[in-house]
Amino acid sequence: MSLIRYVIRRILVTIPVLWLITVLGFALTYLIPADPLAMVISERAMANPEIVQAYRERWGFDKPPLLRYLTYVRNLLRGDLGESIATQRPVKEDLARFFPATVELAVAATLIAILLGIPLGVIAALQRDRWPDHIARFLSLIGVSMPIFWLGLLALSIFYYRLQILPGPGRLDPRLVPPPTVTGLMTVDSLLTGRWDAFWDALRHLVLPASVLGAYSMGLITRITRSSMVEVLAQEYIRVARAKGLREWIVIGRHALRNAAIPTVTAVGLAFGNLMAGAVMTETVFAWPGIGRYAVDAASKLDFPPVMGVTLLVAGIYILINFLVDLSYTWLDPRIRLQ
Amino acid sequence: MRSLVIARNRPSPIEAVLGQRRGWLRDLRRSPTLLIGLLLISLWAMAALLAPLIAPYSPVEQRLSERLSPPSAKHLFGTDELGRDVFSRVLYGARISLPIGLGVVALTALLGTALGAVAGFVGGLVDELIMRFCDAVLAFPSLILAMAITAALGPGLNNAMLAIVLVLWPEYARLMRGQVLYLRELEYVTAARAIGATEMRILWRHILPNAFSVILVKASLDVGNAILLAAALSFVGLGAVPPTPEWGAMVAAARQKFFEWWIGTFPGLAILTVVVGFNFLGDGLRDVLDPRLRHLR
Repeated sequence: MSLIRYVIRRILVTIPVLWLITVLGFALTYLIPADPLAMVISERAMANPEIVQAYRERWGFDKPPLLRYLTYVRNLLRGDLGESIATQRPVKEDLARFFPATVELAVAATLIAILLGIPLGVIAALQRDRWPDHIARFLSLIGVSMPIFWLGLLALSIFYYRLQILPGPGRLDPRLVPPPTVTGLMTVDSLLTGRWDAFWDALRHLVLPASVLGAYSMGLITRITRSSMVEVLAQEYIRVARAKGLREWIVIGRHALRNAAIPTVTAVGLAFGNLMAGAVMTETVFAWPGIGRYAVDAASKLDFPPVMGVTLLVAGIYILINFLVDLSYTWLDPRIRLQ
Repeated sequence: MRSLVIARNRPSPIEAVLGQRRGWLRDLRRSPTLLIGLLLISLWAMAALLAPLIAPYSPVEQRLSERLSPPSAKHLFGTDELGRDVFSRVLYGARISLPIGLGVVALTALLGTALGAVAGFVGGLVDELIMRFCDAVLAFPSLILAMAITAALGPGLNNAMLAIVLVLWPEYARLMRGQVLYLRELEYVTAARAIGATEMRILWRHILPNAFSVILVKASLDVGNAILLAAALSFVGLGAVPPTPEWGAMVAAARQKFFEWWIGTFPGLAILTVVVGFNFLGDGLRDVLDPRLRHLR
């Protein structure tokens, strides 16, 4: 099947899922027993029926649910994600402001997880049932069992408060002038504008939250790399490669790792999807101004338009990554065809 | 005579999947992860059961004169900002987190397995509906969805549990559906159908017992997940309500207290060890229950 047809088919399959997400999200906002208005306007204003009525009309709460849903979907199709009830700011603008911070964090975390997880998994598989393997298995199990919010506080208390070798919460030292926004990624922007001081500081701010967020993914990637390497290393072609007298690193790098790559790439893709969600905790602990913290703030105020906005964005990314992972299979293993 | 012998030897569903008892014990000795997991969980189960006997203080009693005292012989894990004994609170916390983890997973597995079995067995439109619904729930970021549901229902542990069930069930539905589709094509199911077994009987006696081990492994790994999610919800203030000695809420109380490290460290370690316990158990169970994966160990 040609690539274009495959892409079109995948997009068509995605539409009902995205539609169901809007239905579920809307049902959630409609079925809640609590009144979001009570969170926004004061108690005295709540007692005044005219103000309440004005607010209801302003947010369309007086319309029947089906009509509200249709309006919501119509706006969505026009790219309008609605307004936050609490701040009255357009959700789209908020997302544009907060999203790059989350991307920067998630990409850094994934890099750390890949750079540590894959070598650890390979070493564990090569040294199977010996102590490096036990250590790798133990580390990966700890990684997936770690309460992220606690690890974050622990990291802050050790490296920031006690040792004072890394900066605390936030993306940049408040005494520094932030670099002009180009991409929204603090490290990239400061590099592009030649602000080395800001680059160094932003990088140092990134170390702790990215390591904390990457711990879970690292555990996942180590486990899957290990088990797929163990499987591949038992194959005949590995024995043949060794029998041919190939150097061990060529056997491992070219023959084994390449064939073990599919489960690993799947794990990386899954892990990245999880990261976008796991960022919620990390961003809360590190006061990182990303979409996770934005969603937590909104959810606790029953302010649903931002929550739905974040959800749709993350769901979209999740679907996109799954798609890219599937596409990469044909490149990793030419025997696999798109269908 | 012969049929009698078969009837007596027929293993119960659990025994059937665990293999012969003796073989299982041998595996237990061979799988250190399973052993460590069982040990950690039993320790925490004991702590939960015996908390009123071993805890030196009440988990909620405030002694303001002794607030923020570091670990000592009197207060093993120190005291928090209200002078409550952290050791006692951590012990009592097990009475909250363990039932939450087990209860949530039991409910989730039941709901998800039932829907997955229906989807796989009935097929057609019903299958399509259930599975697309699963896709939609899975596409939601789980923690954000759980937060939104808990916030909407009102903060509290019961609502947090309900939210976690609603977020986690689709994975079981998918797993169970896959199992049903795989198992129903096997020869022994065809054989059962050929001798006139009803569909219900096939589902109950032939498919469910064989899918049990896969679900069990997933469930044991998920108890840890559920405990983590509940703790995270409490951490952001949507789960346990003060003064409940819930571990996530205790870590949250330590957020601004970097100097008094003991307040947050011990409840965090409690979460970590319990979750490690269930993950080791799940990992070990998978090694023992799935002979196909055994060579990968």
